[in-house]
Amino acid sequence: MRRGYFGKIWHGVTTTARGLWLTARHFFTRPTTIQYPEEETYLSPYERGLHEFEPEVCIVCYLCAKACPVDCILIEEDKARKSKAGKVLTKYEIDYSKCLFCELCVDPCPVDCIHMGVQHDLSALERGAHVKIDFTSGEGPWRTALTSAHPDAGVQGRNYGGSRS
Amino acid sequence: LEGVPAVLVYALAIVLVAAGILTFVAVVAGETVWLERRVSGRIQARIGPNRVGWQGLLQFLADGLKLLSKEDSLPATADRPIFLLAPVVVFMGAFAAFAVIPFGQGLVAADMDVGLFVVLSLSSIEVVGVIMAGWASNSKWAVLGAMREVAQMISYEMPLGLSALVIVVLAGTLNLSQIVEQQQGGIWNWYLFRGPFAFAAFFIFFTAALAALKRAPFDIPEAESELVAGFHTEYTGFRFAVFFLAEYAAMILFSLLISALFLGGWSPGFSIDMGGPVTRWIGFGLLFAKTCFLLAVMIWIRWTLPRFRIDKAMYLCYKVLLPLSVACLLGVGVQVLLGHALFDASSGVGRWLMGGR
Repeated sequence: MRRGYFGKIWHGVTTTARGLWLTARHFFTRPTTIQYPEEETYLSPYERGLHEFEPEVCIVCYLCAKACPVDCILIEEDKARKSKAGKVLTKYEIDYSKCLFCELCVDPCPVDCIHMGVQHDLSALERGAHVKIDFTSGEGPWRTALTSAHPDAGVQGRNYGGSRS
Repeated sequence: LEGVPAVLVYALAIVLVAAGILTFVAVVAGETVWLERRVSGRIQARIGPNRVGWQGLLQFLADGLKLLSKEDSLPATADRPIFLLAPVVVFMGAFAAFAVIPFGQGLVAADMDVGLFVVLSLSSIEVVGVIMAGWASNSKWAVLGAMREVAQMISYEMPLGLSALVIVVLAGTLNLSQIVEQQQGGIWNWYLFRGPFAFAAFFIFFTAALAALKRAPFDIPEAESELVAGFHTEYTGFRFAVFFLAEYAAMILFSLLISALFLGGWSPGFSIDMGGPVTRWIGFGLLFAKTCFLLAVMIWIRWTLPRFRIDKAMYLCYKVLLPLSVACLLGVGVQVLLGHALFDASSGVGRWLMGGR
């Protein structure tokens, strides 16, 4: 649309006023920022964080390791102590420098002993401390995630429950 | 203070007043930066700095410390003396003019009869510093920024001066203290509300002041998306901090000036004697509130409007603001003459029409 001299001035004034009105309205809206370490972040119901693993349930079938597209799951069993109850797991290690958090290891498990957890804020004082995590030994964040009662379990949009089946 | 030479006392007074104003300006400028970042954050649905001090109020100290601890780099091909002098000139231009700003009744460092002229001319010195910085940096971004600043300056200075002249015609004086005195009494006595020409002059002056301050939408010389940082691209550390401080000091200066010219300065908008020691500081508080309001509007505009193209900015200044300010100047002259012809200067309407004459 062609505007004359005064039309242009009027257009400039009115559009400026409209823009100012828009930003003024935005000024009074709530910020969407979450003050993360102090406030809880939003976690999707399908959040894929650090794995949670139950070594007592595992039957050492290697299906998860075979499903893994990046071969990041290392499973070792004690061949000598093969008992009637089944194979004995000695090491279940996930290399998180490779892991894609794709959840492909979870589906094939026949006994549902590996799940995707919600733990996502790992920190350590040494480089490499959380690169390879052995789920059969020690106490680590994966244990905490598994055992810490998940206070808001069931709340929509916040999956603090360990497993989804 | 007997036995002390008068020169020494005088020098000490100057230093004290200068230190007081410098502290005031630096602190307010720092808080303006904080305000700017918080307001821009809220406009963009963010929060903004809220960690250092209560709600981030001490953020400017942290920023200043950071800048002080940075390396003071100097380009190898820079024109060394001019490069080093430029931030000083810029800050001087922004800071010196505070001397003639009336902060309250009698609260003015130098009560000059040419106060308005001094403010406008001293704030133009800042431009010289900008050009020095741009030229001496020997960097294409800085030179482009300086060139744009020159082009912009000659376009905004005219409407800026002419719209200030509207108030001078009304007030009959360039003395800022007297201009403020004449706006005592009711809110309709503020020069903003004395007729359509002064009202229009307010908006022209405000727009031209935005251009003078290199604020968006007139931040063409800095234009961070086009020129890195414009004229201060090559500056780091403390020198950059001085540029930054000068920019915000100039914002405060122009807000104070607009308050004094159009919004009654330290007068509260109703009839009250502002001469007492307590009311004097209340007047200062009122002036400060008006200044903060104008600063907030400047920030609001910055985060609303995108940057003008240089030719559009020139179009606005030359072809819109300049004719309008000339028309306002003529109109206000007619208004004063009519006031003289039709009303007695002592009558309310006559005084309203004629300003301080």
